[in-house]
Amino acid sequence: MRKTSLAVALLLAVACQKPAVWMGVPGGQVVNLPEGLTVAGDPLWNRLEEHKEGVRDVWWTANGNALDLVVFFTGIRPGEVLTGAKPKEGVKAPVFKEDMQPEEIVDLFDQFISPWATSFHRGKLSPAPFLGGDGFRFEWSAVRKGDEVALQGVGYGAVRKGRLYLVTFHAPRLHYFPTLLPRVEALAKSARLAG
Amino acid sequence: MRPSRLLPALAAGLALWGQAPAPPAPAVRPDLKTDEGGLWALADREEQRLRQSPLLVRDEALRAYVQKLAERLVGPGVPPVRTYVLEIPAFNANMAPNGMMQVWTGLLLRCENEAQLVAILGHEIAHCTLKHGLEGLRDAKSRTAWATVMLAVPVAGPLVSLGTLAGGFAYSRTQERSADALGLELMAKAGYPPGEAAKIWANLAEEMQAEKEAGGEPAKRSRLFATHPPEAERQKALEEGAARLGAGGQDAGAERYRALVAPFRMAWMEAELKHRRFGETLALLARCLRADPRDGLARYFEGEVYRIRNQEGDAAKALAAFEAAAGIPGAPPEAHRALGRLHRKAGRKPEMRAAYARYLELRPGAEDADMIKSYLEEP
Repeated sequence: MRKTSLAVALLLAVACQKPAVWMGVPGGQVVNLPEGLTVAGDPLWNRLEEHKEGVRDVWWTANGNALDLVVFFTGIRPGEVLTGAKPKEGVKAPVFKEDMQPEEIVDLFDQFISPWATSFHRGKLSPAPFLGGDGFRFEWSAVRKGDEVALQGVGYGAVRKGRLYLVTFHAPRLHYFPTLLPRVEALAKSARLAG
Repeated sequence: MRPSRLLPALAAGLALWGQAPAPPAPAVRPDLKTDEGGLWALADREEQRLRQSPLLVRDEALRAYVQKLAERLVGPGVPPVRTYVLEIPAFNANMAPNGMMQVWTGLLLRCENEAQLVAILGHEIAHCTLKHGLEGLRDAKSRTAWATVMLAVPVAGPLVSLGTLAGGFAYSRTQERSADALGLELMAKAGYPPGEAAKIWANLAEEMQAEKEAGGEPAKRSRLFATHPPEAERQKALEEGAARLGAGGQDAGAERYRALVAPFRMAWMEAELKHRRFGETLALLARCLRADPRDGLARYFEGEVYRIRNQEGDAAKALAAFEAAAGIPGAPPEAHRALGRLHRKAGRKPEMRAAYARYLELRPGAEDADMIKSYLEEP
């Protein structure tokens, strides 16, 4: 009896599991992201359509998120974690603060991805135009937990009106990162804030 | 069935603490058809993966140092040891039956001297000498765990499988006590003061207590150490064992050890901070500063802990620690950068410029040099 119940529960769990839906990003037009962020569409990318309420990270990939992943963190307010969610009560979580300097935002990102990546090493950090104004660019490397793939990453960020906007990209260091980097740079360069 | 040669060794471990069991016969690669042969094959496969792991610290001087220490301890009954240092910020080491030994950087960060590292290596070599891994495999209670190991290793990633493999070597308290006894004897024979073994556990207990008092959760001990006796009990037993063995060598090798790990401490401490177990880390740093009040790196990271923890009063403590570090010759240049950041946030422009300029002077090729220069150009 117990075995039957378990089997039914497992079947239900599998049946209720919604598969990730990836939609092609249209080329040649401006794509609207949450919080007024816009970027130039590039048909190379696919966008994950599934979103939880109140969460403002948007995922794009060209070949599948295990091989390359662009994440837009849009309009993160003080006291929120990078997805835009508020940490649960009593849970210590790395949250954005308005007076954070770029290097602290890189630390915040490092903390954010630490459940999935280890051996995070910061690379070059420099001022860079972003959202049509002042911003910063950072590079990093890490090792993905689980399969120990060496990852390389890059990110662009800026704080506007007390809110944080970030575009990050990471991929396996071999092949995928250098191949896709120019398209990611173009994407970041096209990012603007409406209004 | 357990080989009869192990019985006297275990009996000795049970009955008389401090009297090390006699080592068994020299190690010969077991037949692949036996359970022991299967265990070796599994460990061989893991070792192949380990050699390719991006977590492997590829520094020949460090590897050769740890390897040399381990080789001094290996006696009859143990296959040739091969040491691998892994960049994992946790207190852990283990030795597989085929001679593959892992040492994690979180352990190296916590050893105060060569003798303490030797004590850990000796303990792991003792497990291997006494074939505790094989006993675990044959123990009915561990069969489920080993089934997991056997199933998981071929499909899981190396980091996962290494952890799972280590889980297979979760020894009983009795085994830990006999490994402690033999390990203590091995380190004494190698010329180290055996009293250093107990200090490791005293230090760990101090860190865990500090974390509890800070309202945090102490680091979960690795599965490898899961059945180890409590630190206090272990410390006491090791102290008694060391007293029975006598003073042993007088040189704990503190200077040698510090010189060797010095180039790595910055990276290891940064990794340590990511745990956000501030109580534990502050206890570790306090220990470093007790040993050497002019330890600029420890003072800098003390400031980092306060800066990141950011509780009431921490800002002033961070500033004081960074200022102290900046005044110590040889402290990380990052202490000046940290000061620059605090001054910039507080609007103290002249102090900010002085601190950032000093940082760039000391680390002209810093990865964040362009960012820092942009702060210096601010009106």
